[in-house]
Amino acid sequence: MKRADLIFGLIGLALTGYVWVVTGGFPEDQVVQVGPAFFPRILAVGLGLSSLALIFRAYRHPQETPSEGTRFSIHDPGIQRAGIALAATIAYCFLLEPFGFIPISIIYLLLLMLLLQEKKYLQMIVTAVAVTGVLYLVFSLLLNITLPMGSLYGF
Amino acid sequence: MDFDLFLNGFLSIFQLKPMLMVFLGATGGIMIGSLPGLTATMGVALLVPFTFGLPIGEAMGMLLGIFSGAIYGGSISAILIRTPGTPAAAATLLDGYPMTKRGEAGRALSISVFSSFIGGLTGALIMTFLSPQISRVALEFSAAEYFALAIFGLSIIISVSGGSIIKGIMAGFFGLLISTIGFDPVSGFPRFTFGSMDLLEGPAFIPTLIGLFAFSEVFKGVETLATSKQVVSKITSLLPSWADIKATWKDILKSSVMGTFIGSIPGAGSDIAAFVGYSEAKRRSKNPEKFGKGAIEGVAAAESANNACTGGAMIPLLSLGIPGDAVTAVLLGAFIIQGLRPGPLLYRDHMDVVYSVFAAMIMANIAMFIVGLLGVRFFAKIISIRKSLLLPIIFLLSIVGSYSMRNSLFDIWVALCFGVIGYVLQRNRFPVSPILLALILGPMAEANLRRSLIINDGSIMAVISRPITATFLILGLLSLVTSVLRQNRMNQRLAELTAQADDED
Repeated sequence: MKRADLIFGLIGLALTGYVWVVTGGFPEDQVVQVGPAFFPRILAVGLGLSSLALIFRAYRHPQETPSEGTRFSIHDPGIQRAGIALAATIAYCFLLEPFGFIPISIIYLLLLMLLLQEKKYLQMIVTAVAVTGVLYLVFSLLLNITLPMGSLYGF
Repeated sequence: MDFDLFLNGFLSIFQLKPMLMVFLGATGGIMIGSLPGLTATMGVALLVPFTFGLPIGEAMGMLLGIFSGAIYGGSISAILIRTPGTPAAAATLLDGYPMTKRGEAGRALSISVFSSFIGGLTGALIMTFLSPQISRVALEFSAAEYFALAIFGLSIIISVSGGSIIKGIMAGFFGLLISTIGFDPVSGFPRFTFGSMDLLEGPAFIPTLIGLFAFSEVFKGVETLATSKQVVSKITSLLPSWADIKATWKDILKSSVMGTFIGSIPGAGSDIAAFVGYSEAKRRSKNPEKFGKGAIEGVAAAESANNACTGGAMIPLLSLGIPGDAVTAVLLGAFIIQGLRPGPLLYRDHMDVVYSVFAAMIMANIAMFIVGLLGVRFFAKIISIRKSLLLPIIFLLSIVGSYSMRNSLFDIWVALCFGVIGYVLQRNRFPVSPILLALILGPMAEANLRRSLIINDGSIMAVISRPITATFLILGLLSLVTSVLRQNRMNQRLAELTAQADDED
């Protein structure tokens, strides 16, 4: 799978270019000529060189080696599951403050369990409620950290 | 070595709440370690937020309990289901699992907990006596030496990167670039913040590593629908028999000392220590042909070496501020949260803290031994917990842990973002540990290099030609070269050993 390595090499080069351009706008130190841009530019060169090496190797050794990853495909059910989990987590972040930690966490846990093809519904509900409750108690009573209670209910 | 301070350190740990934390940590650590897919790094990262409000003694007691417990815990699943719970236990399964197949699971587990205890204790004691000496030398270091030390630490990146070295270097540079986000350490100019107030101090450390080490793992688990193997063997004995101890004590002691020193070399982690200890025991054995077929010495040597490594890895962390492996890098983050920076100054200004860490490390190993002995049947059950219930809990812990540090939603976004990056990188066989080490050592390298350049009127030669600086830089280069060579050899040996084990099935 040399294509993935090529893509990552190109991403590395793009990042190198980005850092080089942005650091061009940093102020220069008048005395020792070593300002805020100095270190990031060294790093950018390092990243650029190693990205080139990766691209070069992808051309030289196009055959599969164990050091390369699994193929990415949007139609793969595994990737779709990971995507749903990501979407659920993003939704969690948006809903946490308006709806509060307790209801949102229980729903989130149940959703992920369903996604992972859990079938024992009673165990699911007991686990989700218990975990949320214990976490809430540990944070609020033991650690004095307040988790959002839900602005919609007037807290 | 100050005996009064040492005693005081013990007294500060030997109280109800710190002891409770040590035992909680050890129990949690063994659970995390025994679950394949949950590593010691992930465990410590997820639980650091819980230590935020605790006094340093309790916080360290809990975290060191997790660290020691997780390294031992990995052997439980290695022995029972032939899956190392943590990479450190990969050598343990070679003889541990054949013992289980012979119906000797209990015997293997009891020698495992015993040798882990002796190994961990040896490591902790060597750390107690050796690290103050190292810190005294390091007290003389100036900015130039610290820069070289950071570069030396960064050369670890290769040795922790597994598989592909180019990818390890790329990950390292990526992490270094991430570490430059926020205020420039010398002039205070904000860099790469995209105009965001939240990024002025860079992405917060704990959310970043929760993303890299916890979120990324659970995404992988969701993708592959990870399943758990069932434990079938019955565990009968809890304590190792006198005969077993007599047969293994020499291997245990030798592995313990070797493991500590391997651990103290930055970059050589507990997995390497376990393999070195194992091969040494095999080489010295009168009947090496028994190894791989259920030799109890194999389990003892591997387990004492990997637990001794925990104490060893603490030596450079405490005395130099350079983490010895990924877990100690997370522990460094925990120190910084407490407002303490490990390194020689910690020994000069906060000797009481240092000694309470020593005491906590020793107690953590005692707690691990007691919990491991009494709870082994319970931990054997934990292994079979369904991933469909476990993974969602880790998702939630990752979110709450990231949020709780500063009550900030932004930190959840940071964690999630690094979770996706970590997941995509790992899927393409990029190692993530170099990113973590770069985040810690990057600012240290930059600030000290620039400070010493200012002192020396911008002359780079004046900086790198200082004797200690040059030595560290050359050592860094050597460590790069040797780790490349060692990596090839390790991969070969690992392939041979697992091929052997496969033949036995």
